[in-house]
Amino acid sequence: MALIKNPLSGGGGGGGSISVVNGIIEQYKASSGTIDANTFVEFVNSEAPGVGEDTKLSDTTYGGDMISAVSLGNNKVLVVHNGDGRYDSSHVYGVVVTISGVTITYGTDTQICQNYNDNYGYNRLSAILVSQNKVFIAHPRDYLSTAALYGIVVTISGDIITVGTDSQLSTSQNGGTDVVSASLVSENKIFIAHNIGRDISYSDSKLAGIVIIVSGTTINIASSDTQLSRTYFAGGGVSATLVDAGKVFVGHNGSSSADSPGAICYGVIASISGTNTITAGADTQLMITGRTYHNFYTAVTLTNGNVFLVSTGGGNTNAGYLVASVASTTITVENSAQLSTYSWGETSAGAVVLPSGVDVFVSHRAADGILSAVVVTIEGSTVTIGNDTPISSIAYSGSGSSPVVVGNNIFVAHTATGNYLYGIVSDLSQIYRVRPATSAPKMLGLTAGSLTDTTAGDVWVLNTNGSE
Amino acid sequence: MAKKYIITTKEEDRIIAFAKELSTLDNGYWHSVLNDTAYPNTTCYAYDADGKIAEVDGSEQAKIGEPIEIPAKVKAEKYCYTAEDGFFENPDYEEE
Repeated sequence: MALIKNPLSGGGGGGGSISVVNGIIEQYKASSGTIDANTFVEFVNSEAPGVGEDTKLSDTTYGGDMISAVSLGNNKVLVVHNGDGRYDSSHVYGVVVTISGVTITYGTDTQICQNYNDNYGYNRLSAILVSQNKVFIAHPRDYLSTAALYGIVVTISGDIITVGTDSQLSTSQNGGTDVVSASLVSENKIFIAHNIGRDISYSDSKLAGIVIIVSGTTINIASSDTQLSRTYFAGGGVSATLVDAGKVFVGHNGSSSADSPGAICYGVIASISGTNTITAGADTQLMITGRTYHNFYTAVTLTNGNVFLVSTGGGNTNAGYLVASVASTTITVENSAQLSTYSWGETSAGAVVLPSGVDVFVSHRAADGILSAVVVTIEGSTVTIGNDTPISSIAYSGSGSSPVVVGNNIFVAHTATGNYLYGIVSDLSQIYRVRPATSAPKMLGLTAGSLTDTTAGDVWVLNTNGSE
Repeated sequence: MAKKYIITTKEEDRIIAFAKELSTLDNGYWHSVLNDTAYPNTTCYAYDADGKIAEVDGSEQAKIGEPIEIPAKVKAEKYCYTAEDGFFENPDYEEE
């Protein structure tokens, strides 16, 4: 009996699992039962992932209500988060985290600016790396009728954070009350999606976008605040991701009717021209189920330009995903389905594209509020979901999360018990789904219960006709 | 009564939108022109006064007839619609 590396199409599953450590498959564990010849066997790691110590990064109260983590390079991550309270007393904080293997060290948690945000658990902070040591942070400030979109640039030197001037970016009524998502368009040009009008629970909430240019720590508003959607309840759970030069996909809540009980997922392409004029394509309904006021979307762009979007929501709804392709300003849904039966609550999932360009690491709130992670592989319109695995044992650890790739590991900033900010590093290879090999199929022997000459990402087929 | 085109979900025949003007996009999706909002033809039907509008793949525009008279009581989500049964209340609708 031998295992051959052979990504044959079709066929059902089989038994067995493997452990993948540092890219080498160390052992094959056959489960009970039989596997037919040439059965397509997906070996998905079923071992508990290797994770470091879940580390409390901040002592500020409500420090984990809103989180956005951004890689600084050199194994450093800036985690921007809420702190000091909710409603009219919260502020924006930041802490620099250094990762060595799965070990975390961190600097001083630093107040970046006053925020006065009016709620919690929503994706209301968005940090973007502008240059090697400069990070732009979009955030809402004040609440209710005086709410507005603000932005600030911080400079990182080692673990020290130096703050620029907090600048008002939108004068639209209630601009930026609920959600903010920023995407780097080019070099120092940033597109920010946010909502204007009223709270996302109200039918007159609309999705808007604005372009700013960062020069040093100075922020210049480069476009008018442009309404992107005519749907009702629009703007909740917004997530923006660059899909092509000057084109940003914005996933958001919306509804065709002001009388509708809630909203569902829509998407729109915002095109930013050289003169910094924003034009919107047709706002496209992307999902037809999961209607609540508090859905949250996390969208990322794959190497092929397609968008992978994770939907989580209020009302204990299940998590879902969709894959969408973009041609010019037209969005086409290629695939959509349920992602997890456990992701619920008014909290957004985190997602980051892995170096393969087709695998997405998704962190989310799972059973009992525990932070879990799953790797989803998207090849064309085919989506394969890996094992959904808890990566923290702390209560309420999955109430919000923001994952970042750091070398061969994933750092996940997340909320945990008491709404404090925590961070944890997971060994990427431990949760990496085994996916089809890109090289030609070849025979490999199974000797002494171990396999060599392979890498993480291979699919193996059990060949019961051969002895080697 | 206002005359509009009707967009429903294929799965439940639930009305999700009305459109005063309707066209199709390059990917065949239904396009409410005045609201510049699109609905996938993979998950949604569109109706005109002649019944269910035939789907297209985007290489050509769908052949769209006259709009349908919409009774004042009919609201999106609250009602369903089929060419055979006309308007009927959505059994799963719950007031907020």
